[in-house]
Amino acid sequence: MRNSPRQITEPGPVESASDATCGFSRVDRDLEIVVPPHCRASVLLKLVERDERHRYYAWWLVVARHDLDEVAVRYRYTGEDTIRFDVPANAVLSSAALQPLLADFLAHDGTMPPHTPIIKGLDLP
Amino acid sequence: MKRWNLLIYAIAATDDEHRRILAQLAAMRAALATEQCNLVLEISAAAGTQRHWLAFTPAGVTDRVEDIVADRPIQALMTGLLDAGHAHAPDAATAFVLWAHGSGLGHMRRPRDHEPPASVGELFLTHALVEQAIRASHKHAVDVLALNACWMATLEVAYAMRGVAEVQVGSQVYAQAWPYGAIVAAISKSVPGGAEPLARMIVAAVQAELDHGQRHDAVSAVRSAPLSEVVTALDGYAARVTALIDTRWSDVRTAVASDAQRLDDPYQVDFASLIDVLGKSDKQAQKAAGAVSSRLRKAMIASAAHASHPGIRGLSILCPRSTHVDLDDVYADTGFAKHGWVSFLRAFQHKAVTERGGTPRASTSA
Repeated sequence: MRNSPRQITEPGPVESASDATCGFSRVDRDLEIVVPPHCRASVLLKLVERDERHRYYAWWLVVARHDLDEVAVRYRYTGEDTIRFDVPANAVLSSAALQPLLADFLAHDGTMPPHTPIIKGLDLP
Repeated sequence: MKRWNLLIYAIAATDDEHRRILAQLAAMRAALATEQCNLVLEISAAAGTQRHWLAFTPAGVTDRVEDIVADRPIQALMTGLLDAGHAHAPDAATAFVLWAHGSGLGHMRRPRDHEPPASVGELFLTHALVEQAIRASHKHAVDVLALNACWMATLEVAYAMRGVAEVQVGSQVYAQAWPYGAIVAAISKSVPGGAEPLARMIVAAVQAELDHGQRHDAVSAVRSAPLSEVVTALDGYAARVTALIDTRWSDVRTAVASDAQRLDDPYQVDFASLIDVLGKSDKQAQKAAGAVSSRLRKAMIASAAHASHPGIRGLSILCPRSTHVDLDDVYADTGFAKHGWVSFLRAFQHKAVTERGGTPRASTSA
C-alpha cells in the first residue's frame, strides 16, 4: 500500500493566550531549555563585546520546536549578560527582526541607554 | 553632630528615566527629616538641567529649583554642583552620588568629553570624567563617592579614584536605581558620623530591596586608603602568574576563560574569585594571592548581591576572554596602565592569539 503524500501544515494565527508564553527574559541560572508550546524557537543572545556607545550581543544558541517535536538543551549560566527570547510562532528569526524587540526589552529593563544594543549578524565577521 | 552635603547628579537618557528620577525626588522629599543634611539633586535631561535644593525646616521640606545653563562639558557641570553644595554648607562633609549609565573602564579619549553634551542620551559615565570633575572642585575631594551606574565597582576605577574620595560605593553589574528615599530616611533617622557609616547605609538600603525581591543587581563599598597596597601586592602576584603563561598555559587559560567568576560585563571578572583560581596549583602564586587577599579585605567595607550574581565579592577587574580588546585604549590615561596586571593581560592575549596561529596586536606600551 502506498503511503499518502505528506502534507505540511503551516502554523495558524497565534492566539493571544499563546503569545504570553513567548518573549524576552534574562538568564540568571543554569537552564534546561525547551521551547515553550506555541513558540517556534528559543534563542540565547549573549553580550560579547562593548564600546563607548554600544553593547554587542551574539547569537549564542538556537533551540527549535516543531509542533510536538521538541528537544531539551542544557545551558550553564556563567554570570555574563545572557538574554533568552522565546520566539512567537509567526515571528521572523533574524538579527534585523530581533534588533528592535531587544532594544524595547532593554529599554524597559532600564539598565542601558536606548539604541545601545546591537545584535551581531551571523553573516558578519 | 556631623553635617552632610548629599549631592546627587542624575542623567536622564530618556523621558522614562526622567520620570523615574522625579519619582525618586518625591521619595527623598518625603523622607528628609533632618536639618543636618543638605540634599541637592541636579537632573540633566533632554529638556535641560535643573538643580533641586531640598531642605528640612520646621514647616516642612522646601524644594528650591534652579535652572542650570548646560553650556559646559559634563564634568564642569558636576564640578559646579560640588562647588555650589560646598558654598552652601562649607563645614559639611560631602557625599557625591552619580546616577547615570556607566561603562566601567571605558574608552576615555572621547573629544566629546570636553564639549557640552550633544545629547544626554548618548552619555556613558567614565571614571576619568568623574575624577576630573572632583579634582577641579574647590575641595578637590569628597568624603563619599557613590557611582550608581553599571560596572563601575572595579579595582581599576576605585584605584583611580583613591585620591579624590575617602570611601567609594559602586556596582559590579548592571546597576538599578538605588532606593534614594530609603537612604535619605536612614540618614535622617541617624545622621552618619563619617564616610563609612554613610556608605554602609547605602549598601543596607540596597540589601533590603534585594531581600524583598525588588531588585536584581549588586552594590559594594570600599575604603580608598588601602587600595595602593592592594595594587602593589597585585604587582607581585601578576608577575608570578605572567610567568605561568609559559609553564602552565593550560591552567592559566582555564582559570581566565572558565573558572573566574564572570559578570554582566564581558570584559571583567570578580577580582577575589580570580585570585582564588589563577595560579592555584603554584605555591608562589598562592602566596602572592594571599598577600593580595589580605589587603583586599582591609579595603572592603560591605557588599550585597542578588542570587543571580553568585560569587561576586565587591570589586571586579578587567580580564577579557576576547583577544580583540585593545588594552592600550582601555587603560589609556589611567594610573593602572603601568602595573603588572596589564602586563599579564598583554602576555595572555599574545599567547592566546599565537596559539591559534594569529598575529598578536602590536602594543604601544609593551
